[in-house]
Amino acid sequence: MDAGLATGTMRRLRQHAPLLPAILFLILFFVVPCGLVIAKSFAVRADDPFAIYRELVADGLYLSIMLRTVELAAVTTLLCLVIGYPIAVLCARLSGFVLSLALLMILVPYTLSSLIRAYGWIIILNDRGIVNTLLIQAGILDQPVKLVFNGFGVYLGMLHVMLPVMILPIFAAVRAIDTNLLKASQTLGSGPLRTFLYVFLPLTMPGVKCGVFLVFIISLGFYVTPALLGGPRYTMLVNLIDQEARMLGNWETASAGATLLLGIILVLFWLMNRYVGLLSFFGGAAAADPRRTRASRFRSALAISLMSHIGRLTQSSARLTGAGARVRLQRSFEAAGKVAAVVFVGAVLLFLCFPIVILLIMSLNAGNYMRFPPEALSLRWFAAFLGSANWTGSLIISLKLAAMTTVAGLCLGALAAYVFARSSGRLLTLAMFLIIAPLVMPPIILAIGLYVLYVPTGLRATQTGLVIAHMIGALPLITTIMAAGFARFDDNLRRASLVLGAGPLRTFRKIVLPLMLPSFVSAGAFCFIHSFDELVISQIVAGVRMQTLPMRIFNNLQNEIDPTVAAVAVVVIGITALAIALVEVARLASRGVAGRQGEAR
Amino acid sequence: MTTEPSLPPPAIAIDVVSKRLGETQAVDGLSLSIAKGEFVTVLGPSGSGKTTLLHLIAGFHHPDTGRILLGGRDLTGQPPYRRDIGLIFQNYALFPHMTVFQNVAYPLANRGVRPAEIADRVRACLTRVKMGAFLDRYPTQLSGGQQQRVALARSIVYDPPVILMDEPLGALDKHLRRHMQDQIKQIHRDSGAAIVYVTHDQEEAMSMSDRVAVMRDGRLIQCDAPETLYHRPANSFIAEFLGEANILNIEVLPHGGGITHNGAKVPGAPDMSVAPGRYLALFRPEHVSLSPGEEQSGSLGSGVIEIRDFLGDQYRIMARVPGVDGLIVVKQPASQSLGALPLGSSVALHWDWTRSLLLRE
Repeated sequence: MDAGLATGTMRRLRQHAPLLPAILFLILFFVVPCGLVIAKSFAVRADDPFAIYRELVADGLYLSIMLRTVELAAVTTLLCLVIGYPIAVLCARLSGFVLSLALLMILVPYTLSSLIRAYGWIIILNDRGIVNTLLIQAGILDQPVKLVFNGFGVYLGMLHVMLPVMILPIFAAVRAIDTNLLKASQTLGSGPLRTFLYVFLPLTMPGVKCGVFLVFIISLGFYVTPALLGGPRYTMLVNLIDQEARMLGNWETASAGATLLLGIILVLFWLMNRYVGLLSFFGGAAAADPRRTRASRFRSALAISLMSHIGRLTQSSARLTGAGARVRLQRSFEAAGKVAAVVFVGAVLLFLCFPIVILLIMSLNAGNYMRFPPEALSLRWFAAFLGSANWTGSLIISLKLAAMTTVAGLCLGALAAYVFARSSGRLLTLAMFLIIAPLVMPPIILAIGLYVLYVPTGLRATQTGLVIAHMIGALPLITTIMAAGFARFDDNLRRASLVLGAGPLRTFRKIVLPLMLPSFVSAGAFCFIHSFDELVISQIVAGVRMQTLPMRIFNNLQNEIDPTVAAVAVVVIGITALAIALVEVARLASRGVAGRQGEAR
Repeated sequence: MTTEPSLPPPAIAIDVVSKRLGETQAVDGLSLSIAKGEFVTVLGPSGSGKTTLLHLIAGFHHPDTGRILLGGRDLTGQPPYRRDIGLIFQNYALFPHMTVFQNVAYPLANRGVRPAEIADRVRACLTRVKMGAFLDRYPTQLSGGQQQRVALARSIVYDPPVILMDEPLGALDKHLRRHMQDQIKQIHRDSGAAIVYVTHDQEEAMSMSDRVAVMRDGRLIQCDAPETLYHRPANSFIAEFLGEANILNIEVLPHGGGITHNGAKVPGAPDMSVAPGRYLALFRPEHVSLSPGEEQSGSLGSGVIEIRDFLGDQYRIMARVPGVDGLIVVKQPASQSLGALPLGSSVALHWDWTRSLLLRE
């Protein structure tokens, strides 16, 4: 009995061993830094651990900024829900090319750096921007109104950033609804309204909860949009912490601020879980229910990032459920509201893509100011970009960092993902939590923690230090994408290869790698983009000599707005689009094999 | 100089193998020896350890205790790719990114066979399973039966001395199953490989195998020729698992005192010449007959028809007999007089005690 138990433990250890690198990595560079932040905030004065917090409360500034931060997150969440829900439902009824186009119009802006998007809005909303220009030309306004560097700018920017985060999980939930349930409800005598209220709405709730949760938590810790679009009145807790640390060097105060933010998030987490049962999709309940299959447990446990952060998956699952599974809520609604629906969806999708379009146009602007319409077209800002050693140097630094992060991240993430897709258990659920946690952790907290860890270890302002910092946030993306891939991978193929005489290495090279290639490519692409766009942590741990591209853009936008940024923005858009295209190509290539199935039958 | 003519080693020798998977004892002290060229079917309900046994032979699991020998070679601890075994999966496990040709060529390439020879052997092998015209197709472009044949070709192309088949026909419809069974038997005859065939379909097991090994809860209960299993099952589990059976609790009284069932004396029972005591008496449905009308001499008793299924060449009738637990199953060639009997009509059941089998409880 004991021997059996011991071999069982050994076997499990061997099975779970590939998890170890990722877990150790995250303990060292995620758990420890977060702990250091908390510890530092209480260690200012040995005799009075709460001294700094008393100061903060007495200050009053922190309290009002905390309230404003929560308000911003709450209003953003509400706005996103009100607009995002109908959009998700309506988009779920599309099919074929229109669906692909709609998803692309959600996905591309979503994947694009929020820094670039904020810059796009500055160009659109400033006094000489397209909105003011058009309104004045139409005679509606006499003089420009202030649309940016105020509340309007912040909320618009936040809506733009967070809307896809709300839409994608709800979209996935709607697509997953078995349309027979709606038919059944109607044959059982429910009218359209009752069917919506008692069948459709409850079935979409997991997606809604996921979206609300993500938008709220991410909004709380969002840095770029308030910093760039908000002006001083819209300083959020994160911006304040950043200032304390970077400008004033008050690392203790910054740590205390970060601890407060962490506290707010944990309390909200707890409240939401308690009153909305929010975490039910997060693995806890699923793990407790042994009847659920590994696949469904897995799906629910990783729903949080599967659904929102990886549009590719939503997209492919949408394709899988197929055109037949289109939701028909009600015929009359369809007929009467069709025009309104098309206009609404079209307007929102255009809103999402608008900054990209404007940036593409304005980068060709020949003038010195980002005035709309451009007086003449030229490539001078692209020439300026290529001619500037600073800009190209930053681009090269960022590309190098992203490449290294991708390689290292793929190694750790793929190993961990393999375990998640193969086995289950309480410990694994815990490990999964740890790996996904960086996704909802405001980067500023991690940034302060990493700084505190890096200074004595000499990792500050090093390439290694930055790669590590970027890997932390990339691991959840890589692991969930790869785990979904491994879960779909038929393990019998691996077994077949072994029994047919191919050793483990040959089996990996000839069977596993080719079949998993799309997953590797998407995981790699998203990891690359994550690293390429990372700003908040880099800014704090990179030092002056290692200016990454986002750092240079951000500095530029905060100080003088050099039109070269428009050309840089287009380069970033191009690299992002390239990454997404790569994902699509890999997906289509893998579908190619499966796609022939249809022709044969 | 003369050498003793020694017996050739068996193709597979499973030597008191046990394997625990998680909480369950998947295989429990199992021994089984399979001769060269023998076709042995492993039969058992789901969860009885059939697939685990197959994975132990293939090398995906390693036994906790015991040994597995292939052709006299101890394979315990050897990885699957050094075992030279063929394995057919229930879902075929064809590589979706390879064509039919590439799939079948894969095991040969793994063994370093020259490309020219690979091409010849793959073509010959695919022609044998009538898939010669599909070399460049991808697996997803094939029907289930075609995929099955490619899987078959892939597992025999390198002439493994042992081929394992894990419910290979489970996903096919009945007609195609029949056809593939014949094809597998043909290949078995031609190749001379020993085949271990896992199924939970007892008809398939009986029709295809030299021997059937019945498993339950990780143990081997009986391994014999199908006829032996059917007519002389080791216990009531096997009796009920292979074909239908009427099983009565009986007590053989001492001193030729006859037989009782549920305390009542069974009329017409001969002297059973066994030690007195409690037994299970087993009757196959075809060994019971019935005729219209009330009880007649030599019969078990009269019953009432509750269920009558028309099977084409015969009727399957279930009748309730007073004093007997459950329904008695009777299979009888179809005749007009039987077909005319309405449900609920009384019939006399005849019970051939000489063909019954007594099993110790």
